Amino acid sequence: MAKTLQEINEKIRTGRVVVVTAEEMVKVVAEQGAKGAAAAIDVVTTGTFGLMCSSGMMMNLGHSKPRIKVGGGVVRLNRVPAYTGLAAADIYLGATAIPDEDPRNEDRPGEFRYGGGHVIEELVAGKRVLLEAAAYGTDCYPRKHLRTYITLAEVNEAYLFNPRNAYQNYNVAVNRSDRTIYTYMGTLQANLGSGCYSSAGQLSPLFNDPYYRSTGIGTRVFLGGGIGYVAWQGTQHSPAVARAGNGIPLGGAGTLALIGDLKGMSPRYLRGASLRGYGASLMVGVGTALPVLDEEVAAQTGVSDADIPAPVVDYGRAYPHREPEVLAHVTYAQLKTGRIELDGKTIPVAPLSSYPLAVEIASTLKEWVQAGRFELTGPVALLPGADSGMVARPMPGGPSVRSRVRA
Amino acid sequence: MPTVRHRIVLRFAPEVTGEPVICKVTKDYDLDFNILRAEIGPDKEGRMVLDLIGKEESYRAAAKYLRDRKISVHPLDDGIHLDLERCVHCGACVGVCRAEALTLCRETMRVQLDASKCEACGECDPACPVNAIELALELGR
Repeated sequence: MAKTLQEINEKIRTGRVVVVTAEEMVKVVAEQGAKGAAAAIDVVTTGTFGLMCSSGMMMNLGHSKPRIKVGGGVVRLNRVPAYTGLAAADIYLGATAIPDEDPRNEDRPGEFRYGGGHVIEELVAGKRVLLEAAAYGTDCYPRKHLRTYITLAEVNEAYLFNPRNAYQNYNVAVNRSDRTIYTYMGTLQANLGSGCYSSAGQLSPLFNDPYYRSTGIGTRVFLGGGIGYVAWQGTQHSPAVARAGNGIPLGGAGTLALIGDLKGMSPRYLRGASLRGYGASLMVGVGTALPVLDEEVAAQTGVSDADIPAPVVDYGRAYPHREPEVLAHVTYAQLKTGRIELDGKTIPVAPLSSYPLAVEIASTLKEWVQAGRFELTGPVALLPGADSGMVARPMPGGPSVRSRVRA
Repeated sequence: MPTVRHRIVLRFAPEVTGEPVICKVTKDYDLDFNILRAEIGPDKEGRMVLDLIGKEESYRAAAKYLRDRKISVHPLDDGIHLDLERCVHCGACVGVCRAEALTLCRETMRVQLDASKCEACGECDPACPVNAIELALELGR
């Protein structure tokens, strides 16, 4: 029998709601079938925690006396440059921004010990952060320089606005070249010496809602330990890719743009990260609570690691040169054993995405729903779906004749 | 007296790298050795990670012989520390640890450290995205 979102929220309010995590739901569906699970369970919670480079913070600094117009000027937080092409006191700090003085990859591989993600983590931890600003000065905003300390509690607004999070499926990165490479998928040993994957598999938000039925614009989510919302489809949203019979896309597909108040978040679920030879980033915790409206939702949320294939891609050549080659598909169940087979070779693989923290996020969200602290919201508008024809396109135009990257 | 195994890190000043100290240790102190890692070149500070196997008494005498030659001797167990408060169990370190000192428990998917297997290659510290691994100074690069 189908349930409505309103009925489920009424159960949350009256403390009668039955919630399980997506990991627990695998067993429920295996034991009771989709029909039985749909009757028994009201809400399934998901979680993921990993590197999400397309993340950042919008902040309003408040107005100094005399006023300064940082818009069009320069702002640094703990030496990390923020984007200032907005109004007088608004800035955006991206997770991958790094100080001008960082040596980058000059002595390859660079360390990238501090960047925008670390500033965000420190702000959320309540630490004070050095604000430096330079402006050109106007009649209404005469001040040209500023140096002071700020804390998250003191600024007006500070919210995460992440253009792309929670990728629905992702590559398994391996390295067929003859040298160690340093990538956003970690350090990859030469000659298929090691591999990395990056999804929470059966716990991941969009594997449990493969057609974005309950995850759309306006959907309330767990974001960085606080409350967030789906703002839009994420950048590179590619819902119309090939899918397995269970609806699971065979490679990177849907993505979410997320927004949420930084002041309610926790440094446990927002962690500045350094990727050797690649750059700085932010590890973000995301979770969703899916209403089990009917048997179809029950079956989808019962998806297990064994049912989810991921594409294996060579980051030694195919990825950097944007060649479409997929070496193989392996399941998350295989990946979680720590070894995959390829070309007759056994390759050790590491997750990069934290499964223990994904479990923790799904469990925390489960507690919030049980305690009546987190009611479910349906989408205000749906994201472009599998039948939309939408697939992320490559950059327009042919290869530049002046490209200095050697093939 | 029972046989013991000591996994140690040696650091050589540039002027002693010419001496056949390991050969002396095996011959004169009756110790077996297994070199796990060696970075030694002429006129350069050298570093070696090795197991010494034999009688405790012999090991102590050999360590004294090495120290008398201005070679620092450090047990490797003290060399690596995993800060579980900072660790997020992403496994990036597991991917670079050939010695399998850092592994993921497949039940819980949590990172675990067996310091006795560490070969002090120094790969894990820079590979950790959240700076949760500390290597003792004599192991750092």
